[in-house]
Amino acid sequence: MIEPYNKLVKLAARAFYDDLTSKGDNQPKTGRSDNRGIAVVVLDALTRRQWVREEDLAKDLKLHTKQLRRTLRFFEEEKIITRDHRRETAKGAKIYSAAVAATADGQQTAKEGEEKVKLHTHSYCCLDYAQIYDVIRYRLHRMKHKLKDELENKNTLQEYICPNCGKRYNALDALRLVSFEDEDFHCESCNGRLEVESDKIAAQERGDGDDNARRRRREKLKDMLQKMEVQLKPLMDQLSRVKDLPVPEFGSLQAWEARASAAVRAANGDINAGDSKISQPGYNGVPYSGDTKVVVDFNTEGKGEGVKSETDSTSLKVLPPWMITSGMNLTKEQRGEVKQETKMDGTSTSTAAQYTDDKKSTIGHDNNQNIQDEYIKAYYAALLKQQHELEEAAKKQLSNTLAAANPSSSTSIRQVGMKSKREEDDDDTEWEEAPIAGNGNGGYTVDLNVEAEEVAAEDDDDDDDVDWEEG
Amino acid sequence: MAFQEKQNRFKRQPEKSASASQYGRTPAPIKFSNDTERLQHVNSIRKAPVGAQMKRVIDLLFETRKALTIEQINEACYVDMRANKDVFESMRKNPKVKYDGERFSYKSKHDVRDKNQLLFLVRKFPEGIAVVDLKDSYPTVMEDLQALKAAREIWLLSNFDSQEDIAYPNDPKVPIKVDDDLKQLFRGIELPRDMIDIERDLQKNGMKPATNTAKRRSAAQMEGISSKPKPKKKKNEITKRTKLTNAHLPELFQNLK
Repeated sequence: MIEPYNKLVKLAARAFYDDLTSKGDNQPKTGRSDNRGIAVVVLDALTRRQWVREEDLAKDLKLHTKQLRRTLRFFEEEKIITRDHRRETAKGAKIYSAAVAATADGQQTAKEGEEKVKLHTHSYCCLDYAQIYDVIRYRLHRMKHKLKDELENKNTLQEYICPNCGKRYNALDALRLVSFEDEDFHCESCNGRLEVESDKIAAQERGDGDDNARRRRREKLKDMLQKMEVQLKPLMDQLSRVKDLPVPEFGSLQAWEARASAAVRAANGDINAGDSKISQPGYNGVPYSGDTKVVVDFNTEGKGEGVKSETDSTSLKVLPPWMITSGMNLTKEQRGEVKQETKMDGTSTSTAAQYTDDKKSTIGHDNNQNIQDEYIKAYYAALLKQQHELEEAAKKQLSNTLAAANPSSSTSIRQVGMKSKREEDDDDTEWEEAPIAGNGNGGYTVDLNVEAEEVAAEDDDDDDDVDWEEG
Repeated sequence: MAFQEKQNRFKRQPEKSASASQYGRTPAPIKFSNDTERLQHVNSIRKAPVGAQMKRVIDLLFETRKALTIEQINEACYVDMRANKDVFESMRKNPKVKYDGERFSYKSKHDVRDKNQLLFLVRKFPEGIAVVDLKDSYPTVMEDLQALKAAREIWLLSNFDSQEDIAYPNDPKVPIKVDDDLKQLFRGIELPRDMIDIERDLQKNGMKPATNTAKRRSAAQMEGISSKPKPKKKKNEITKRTKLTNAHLPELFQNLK
């Protein structure tokens, strides 16, 4: 699909840009550093890539970055390429490298460990096939029209030129340029008398006076039209070839990176391959990877694994005796009287190790593992059942007490915005809900690569209107 | 034939210096003293450091581009590798020299012999090949590179950082040549700043535009990339209250706030 468009780009490059040099207009084009063909080389290289960092492209083509940038800037103005500049960290560069590795056989050069906070502006570029196709057609159409119009003398708008300063005017400017002294048109800048300019493509001599000049001009225009038909035939053929083909679209740099990263994950068979976050705008393709340390406490009977996070602060610290004074509202835990929670099998565990890990331990043989899995399932089922029963009992008890206290109102005492204390059961068992497994960032992704809008720092003067200068 | 000439030139070196002292008179038959001078020259070469002797041999191999035996090398440049094992070993290990067990020959970075092989090699490097790596391939390689450039078979660009040329292949599958006046006409047609205008123009002339700029812009806005230019920071302007070091030049501060 992309190959016909690549051929179109190559043809256009060789047809119209093969004599471009990377030197500025004011620099002498010496034989030593004649860079004719740099445009073709750069466009050819871009047909072999998608989004590419400009520094990398310069390195691959063994060109100086300045040379390449000048050419790319020109092509951006010509609407042939799309460029993107962004400030990014080393991490952002790694994301790009990963995306390149996914689309091409690029190597990921960045080391995993390096994480620099320093922001650097990096420029990226890629071919914009849709714009290339449109711009070529637009220009060719305008070329043909221009030549035909001049051949048929349709350019009725008379043009004038100042012989002194070379400034151009057309018939529409005539009214303000007419001089009341000699009733001629005079230049605004130097007041020189304007001459009629034959601004035709083929005009080589001043004035349209004699028939020979007119005939010569017509012949030259016809010749140009003919040359256009013949010389640009391969390009025209290619344009008609790609007419019904879908245009390759790489999208924006961020979208491209996200797609490439998703493709990598899908290829690796990652569990996050179908993650909905990838489709979110601003998602840059790197899944959250926190460094939470987990201590796994295996029960001796193998009935379940208790997991405790380092950052957990659910269990309150036991206060030393010298800190406890009369009048302090302390819980039993803080006093050191640890609550015992009775399990179904008779063993008791403290409330500190209540969280259970989602993932099963990989230690032990398969058979043992299966037995453990079955046991855990049964254990959880029993716990849930017990919890439901307790809730039912609590509800019944609550409704009974309410009915006894206030027979007229059967509505709940709980009101919106008011805290309601839940009455605990007699067996003094607390049920804590397990924390929902997540990546810890609540679905909010921070994209370091998106440039922050610079807020203009307005220097608001104080009321006394005094400017303080730093020494 | 060229090898014979080379040998003769090497042999004639001391004779020239001897005859030069005779102030342009007709060269006399070789005297014993002249031969002594030649032998002294040979001796000075053989007593020179290993590196200097190697350079003489490599220069000879580079110029002749032939595979020469130890005897031929000795005859041509007086470096006797049979007698000097250090020179022999160093030559055998030198990356620019190929030794097949009997003959020594110059080994260039790329094994290229003529223009066709050169073009074939350049086409293997679509991202460009440094001319420095090609220079020593064969004596007329630079002329051939220029000829290939003139024939539009390759592009020669100079990297103004290191001032070295890079050769890139020109794709032979896309043959197109357009006159300069048509190029100028094409590039002279100014494009509207906004792509939407180009799309409109194409539509007006019965051509379906491939670009959908409006859609792109909305997508960019959704992604949070603003296409608007950033507001520039307000400059700290000079006011009446600013302490001036050049207050004696009032004409500079006529338009103070």
